[in-house]
Amino acid sequence: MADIHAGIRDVCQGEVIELPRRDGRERHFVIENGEDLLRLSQWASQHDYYFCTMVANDERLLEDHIFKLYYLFSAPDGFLVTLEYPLNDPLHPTKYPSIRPSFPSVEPLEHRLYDTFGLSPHTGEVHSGTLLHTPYPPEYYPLRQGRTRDKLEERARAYSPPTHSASAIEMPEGMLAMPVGPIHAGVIEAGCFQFHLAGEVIEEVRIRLGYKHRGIEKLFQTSYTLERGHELAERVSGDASFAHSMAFCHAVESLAGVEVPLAARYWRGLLLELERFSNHAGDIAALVHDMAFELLASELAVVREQTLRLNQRVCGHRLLRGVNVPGGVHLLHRPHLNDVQRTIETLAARLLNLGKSVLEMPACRERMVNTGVLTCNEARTGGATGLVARASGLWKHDFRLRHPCGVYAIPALALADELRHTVVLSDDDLPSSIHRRVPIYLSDLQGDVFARLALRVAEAETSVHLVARLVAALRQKGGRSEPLVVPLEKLLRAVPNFEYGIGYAESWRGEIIYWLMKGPRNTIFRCDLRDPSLFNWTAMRQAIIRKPDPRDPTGRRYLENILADFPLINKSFNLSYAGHDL
Amino acid sequence: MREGTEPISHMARLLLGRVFGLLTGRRTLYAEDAAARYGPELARGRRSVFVRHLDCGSCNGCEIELSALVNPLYDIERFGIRFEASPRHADVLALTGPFTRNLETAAYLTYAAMAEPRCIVTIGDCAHDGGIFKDTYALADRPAFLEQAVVAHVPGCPPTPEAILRALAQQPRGTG
Amino acid sequence: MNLTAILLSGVIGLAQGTLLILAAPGVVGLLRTIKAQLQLRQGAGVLQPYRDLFKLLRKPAVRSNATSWIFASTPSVLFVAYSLLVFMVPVVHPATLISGDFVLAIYVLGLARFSLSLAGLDTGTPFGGLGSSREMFFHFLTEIGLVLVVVGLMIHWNTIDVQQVFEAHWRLGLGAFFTRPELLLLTLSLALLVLFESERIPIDNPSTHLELTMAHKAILLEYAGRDLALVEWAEMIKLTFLLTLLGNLFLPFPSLLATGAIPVVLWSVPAYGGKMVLLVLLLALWELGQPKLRLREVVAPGFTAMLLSLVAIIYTIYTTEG
Repeated sequence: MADIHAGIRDVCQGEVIELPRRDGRERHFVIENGEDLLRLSQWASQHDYYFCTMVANDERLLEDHIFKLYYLFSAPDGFLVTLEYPLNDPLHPTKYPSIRPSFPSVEPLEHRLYDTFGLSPHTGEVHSGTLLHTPYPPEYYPLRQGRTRDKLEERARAYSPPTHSASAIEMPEGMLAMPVGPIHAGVIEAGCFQFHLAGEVIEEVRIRLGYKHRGIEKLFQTSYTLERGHELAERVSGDASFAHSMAFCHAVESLAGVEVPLAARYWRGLLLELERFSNHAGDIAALVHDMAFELLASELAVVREQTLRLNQRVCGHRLLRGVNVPGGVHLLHRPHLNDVQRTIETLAARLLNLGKSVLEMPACRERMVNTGVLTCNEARTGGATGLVARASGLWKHDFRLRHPCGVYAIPALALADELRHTVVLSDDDLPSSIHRRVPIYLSDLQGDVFARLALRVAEAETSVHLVARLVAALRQKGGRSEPLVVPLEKLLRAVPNFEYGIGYAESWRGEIIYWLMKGPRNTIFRCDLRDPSLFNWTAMRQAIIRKPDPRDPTGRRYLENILADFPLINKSFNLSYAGHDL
Repeated sequence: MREGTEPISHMARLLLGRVFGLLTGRRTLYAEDAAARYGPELARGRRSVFVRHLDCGSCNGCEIELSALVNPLYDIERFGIRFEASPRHADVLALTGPFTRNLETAAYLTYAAMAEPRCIVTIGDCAHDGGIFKDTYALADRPAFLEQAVVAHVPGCPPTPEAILRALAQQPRGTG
Repeated sequence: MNLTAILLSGVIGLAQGTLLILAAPGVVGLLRTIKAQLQLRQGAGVLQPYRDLFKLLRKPAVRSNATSWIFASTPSVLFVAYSLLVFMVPVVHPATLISGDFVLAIYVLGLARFSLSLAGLDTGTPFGGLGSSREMFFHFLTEIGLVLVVVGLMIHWNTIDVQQVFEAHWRLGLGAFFTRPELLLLTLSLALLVLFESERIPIDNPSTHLELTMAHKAILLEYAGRDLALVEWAEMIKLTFLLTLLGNLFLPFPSLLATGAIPVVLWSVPAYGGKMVLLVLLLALWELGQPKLRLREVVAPGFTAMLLSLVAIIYTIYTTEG
């Protein structure tokens, strides 16, 4: 039903060419007609497709001499669908049709493309300055080909931004504008929030990011090769180092058409779950700390620290850097599986106990329930992803289930079973093999701070079960020392230039997607990466602003948040500024 | 989960156990003994250092390690070091990240808000010379007056909390 | 009373008030250390606030060009106001330097708050205004509560003079105290109000780093160096004053009636110390064992305090009439 071919047959009038993909789970179509693209995206939005990302590519120096856009969708039937749209209108070489009406989540990407490529949609407004603020000269477009680092540097240096005097922000009667940031009071990242307040109630919030823009995509293209890019990928967003490098490696491996050795897949799965556990523990601790509940917060912070120390023991780095390499994993020594198993069990017991206390304590609940509500509908239309989407009731939205790869695709391990029961749908639905110490029910997932905290606890527990299964699997393989890495260099050289590969990994925040196009001599011609934070920042705004309560039939009740609750909501989303700003 | 309420027994037991431990002295602290771990010179404390964190475009790895310092396993408070909310209160600016163009003005204003004597400790490889991000267009040069205020650098990507702790405890003595 | 007696009591009042001002950072240090120890941390030690203050006092004050004399004078106003309060309560000896009534005490507290709120507005920063508005919101709750406590005491003792009320409580002694429910209700009410006045959990978080949840601390964000030292010290004095008030008024032990008798003073010093340690321990436990309330919900403890006093007042009137 949701097969993309059916959609193309139904709505497309112009020619649509399907190009073969090496990976059987991917599909690629070239759509030349803008109207077709819009109709097809509308069809996709009606058929439960999830919009992943939009990649722009400057192919003016290649055979087609134009810009191209690649739209990436995740289909409900398990395929990753790429729609290629060439910007072939000679009168408007930088204009493209906007799919915003069917997928509003594309908006931040459109702003971004305007800054980095100078591309803008036919309809719908875009503004500059989301990534490149006033210090950058106009029409800078760093991601266009031919703009070398030296030229860009020179232009930025020569440019002196106009000195603007602070101007008053126009506000409606009785409202107050309150700008906060970009530098914040705690040990947190830089970003600016502008609140529109009526008393303490937040009517609207404008989130302005981009302060941490480091030009990472360009850096991939100018200074890194496919074999070494993982080093930079690890430093895109430090708290998801492992997931980022895993997604990057996955993209390179899918480009080379190899599957990593089985033991390496086990290790990757195990470490990805360790990262998830560690960050969920840290987030729970931080959330409790923000409620000023010192005793439990410090206990939870101890659990978090112990997970980082476990990481250190397993692979020599507290944030699991330097493990993933394209083609497999690189471990300094074979870690003690017993240590991993025992430590994680102890920590899980403590975390679950503490998490349960927080969830059950009335005073904590009072702060969390109905605070920062992101309704299921808003999550779906806004393109929210990862834990945030799941906490709003879209509990199936998980790339480990939608597009299983690596260890999640091994049927014998049955990891999907474990994942599917993270949220308890009903008590009799739970198979006897699966045990939940802190059962979280679907009715708990109502998109508020409470739901996000509860889901963090549940997912931490799932991660522990997954780790246990993977440890058992690794034990079974025994001491046979098979290589953990396949050499990729030659395979990559054999791949034709300007071929692209897609890599993804479900980090603890949501799916991370890398889109890599190979250049000559294993260079990276184009690297586009999408951190889950990108869409979730929009979702967070939606959760904060004052809006009618959809659960109230009379429509007179409003969901509103007060300013003092903003830190709590922010922490419950815990989005990456660095991952957004790139 | 949403509806049912449990008594807060776990909490109460935890707290009572702690009070009992405090009164009888029979308890072990989370952190190792400071003198054994960090040397007597550092453990003696008797200092007062207020630290303000300033993010200049880090990958948030350094932030993870900085916030780890306040957990009971490092317990930075026992060394007389405290993270402050305002640059006005601070003696030391803990600067992370490679100094992006977009944050240049904000960083300058933050430093300007501090009271003398003040200094900067750079944390992480990229705060030193851009590190892995050295070759991008998005970095600005640190102005000379900020460069001169740097009294110490903690290498690492990210540095361990212990290394940061040592640097924060040792360096500011001359300036503070 | 002859001149020497007046002089003597003045000197004693001056001495114990001054000592209390000097001891205030130690009380806060003790509170922080106990909290740290309960979290199985070592903590910075009782003396750390002294080190902090000493360092801050040597740093110059940085003031934004946008601020006026209001911002500059507030630290001194706070310090003087809270110091005045300290000289009004008997600590280990019944003599005080300043004799006044409770209404004066309430409005000296109010003056300090008013001055602080003005300073917050004076900075022109969004946080300053935010903090001021929240401070006034808290003040609205506490002022009524405190007045009701004073009314309760007044109806009970027919006086609001600080010294006379203290004396009455001491005469009553600790044991008899528990036979008078109205006084116990007033104790609870005052204890809640102390949490409000000293900006503790669950009303406000004194150690927060989240600028948007701050009430009191939001105003202090702009102070630096000497100014900050003075403000912080003033806050410590206030907390010590409030705990002393609570301890000496509602834990009237030992009886300090025998004015000037040396054995009683010898006895009352450790007793006072013990009371303070007990109160600090209770405060630490209270703060650790619960999260902060949502900002709007602080109305609840505020009204609870008022209600407790009201019940005490009605009970007193009822029993005395009947």
